[in-house]
Amino acid sequence: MHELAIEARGLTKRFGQTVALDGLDLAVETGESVALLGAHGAGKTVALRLFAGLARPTRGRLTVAGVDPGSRAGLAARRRLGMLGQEPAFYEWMTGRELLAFAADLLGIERRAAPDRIVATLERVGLGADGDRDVGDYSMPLRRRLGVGQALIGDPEVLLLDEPLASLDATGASDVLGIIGGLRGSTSIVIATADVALAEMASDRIALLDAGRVLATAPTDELLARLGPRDYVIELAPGSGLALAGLLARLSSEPWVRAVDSSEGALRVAVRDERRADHELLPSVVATGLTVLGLRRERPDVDVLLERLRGEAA
Amino acid sequence: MTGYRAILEKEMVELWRSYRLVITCGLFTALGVALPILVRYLRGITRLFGQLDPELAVGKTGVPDVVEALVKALWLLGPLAAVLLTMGSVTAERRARTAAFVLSKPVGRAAFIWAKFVAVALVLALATALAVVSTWLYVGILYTPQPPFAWVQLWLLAWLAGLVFEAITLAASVSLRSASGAAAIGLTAFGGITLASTVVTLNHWLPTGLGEGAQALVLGELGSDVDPFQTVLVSVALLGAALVVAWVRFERTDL
Repeated sequence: MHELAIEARGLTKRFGQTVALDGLDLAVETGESVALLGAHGAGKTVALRLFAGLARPTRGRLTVAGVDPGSRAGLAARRRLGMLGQEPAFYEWMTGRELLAFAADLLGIERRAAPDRIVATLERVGLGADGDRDVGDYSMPLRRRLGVGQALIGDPEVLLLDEPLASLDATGASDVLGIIGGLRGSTSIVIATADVALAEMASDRIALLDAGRVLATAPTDELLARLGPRDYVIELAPGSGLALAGLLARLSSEPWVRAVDSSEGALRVAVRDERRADHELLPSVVATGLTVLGLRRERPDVDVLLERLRGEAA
Repeated sequence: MTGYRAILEKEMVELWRSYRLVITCGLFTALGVALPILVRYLRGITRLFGQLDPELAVGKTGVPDVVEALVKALWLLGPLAAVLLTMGSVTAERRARTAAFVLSKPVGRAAFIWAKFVAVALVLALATALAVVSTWLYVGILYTPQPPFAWVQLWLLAWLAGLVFEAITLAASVSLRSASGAAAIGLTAFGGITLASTVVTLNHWLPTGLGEGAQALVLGELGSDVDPFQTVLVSVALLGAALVVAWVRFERTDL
């Protein structure tokens, strides 16, 4: 039996009349990576704040690393916790190196051991050359990297990441994904995100959140195969609107097509049967006389996943 | 208190780098130097502006005049500095979300609040000490050397008066979402207490009454009608109550 890194039962958080989290049930096993996937306002950030002991639940039971995060034992347990907030906010007058030293000090890391660990962390998050600059001069991607660094400096057993790839460029995103990938299996990770692609790349399991409730929890591959098979996105050269309208009508009537949509010169087709789509989609487009510029596969966004889930339930 | 030392160090460095420590200490030192000189040479200075109405003419000044001026200045500037240094201490960190960064680490909320209080308290201690020492030195040069012990007591009482308003502003800074709101509470408390202190019987029980006691201590005029001990007790109780409010409110605050 696996130990639980996080266990939430009926976790509820109200802010006045607003219910931010409504009876959340979630269990994260040690070493497991779970994505809390939901649209804006789904309650993901509130859940992470409760896990980190930054807010107290209105109702429900919560243990992180085996203890209530609001208790005295929970305070000590935060040594084993790393957190990256949605908008990483740090003291602007500190340098990146000083901020990591402060974080190390707060975590109780010995002062003799801290400098080596700070250098290693700066290198790890790609801030080796920027460590002695003021945080106030950092761009948002650099702040995000620093945020990842301060979350990792204590070698946490539980890592809470709120939109870890937000505002990062492709290199930054790739670096952070690499770091998360290196921690998987040894560190329990909870990622709050609205980014389906991130959830797919960085989690073992997805908990789909909407309006403060977990609507579905399943292994990532399984859930995405069920609700979010990759759409076909076909880029088209400007051409006849009539031909496009005809194509949309034709595709909509196909049994293997789930939904079809066109915007900004791209045709997005969600399918039920990938095998048939592979064989029939492109020939159908070409037959209309439209010029195909490119084809790619993309996961649908989280709203589409939620819509499909509701459709299943109905 | 977990994390207290690290946060206190951070607060002190921040006060230093933001020049708040230097500016506050510089102002108080300038005040401490200027007061005895101004009082000593006030007659000469007023003569420079020509013949005054004899009723307005300044008589010969002495140590009591300097002490009175110092007490009035410290009991005005001390609370003001306390309010200005404390007004954004918690609200700013909540708004900037740096409080969430710190408290996601193993740091108790009591340690967070207490470190902030102690940091400003240390600045106030240093600033008021510099003012008192400067005045004491110049009184010794311009008038007669003074025994230091009573002046140390004056310093401690001036510090305590500042701490009361620091604690009240800190409690407001925890409870409100704006630094200006916290400053308004601190200044209102200061104004209210100053207004109440015009009632002589009330003044003995208020932090403003500490000034009267400090002046009597330095001038050796401590009598049965002036007992700073009661005033100290009330001020410490006020300070403690404000700190408890700040702590309890912060414990219940979601970040």
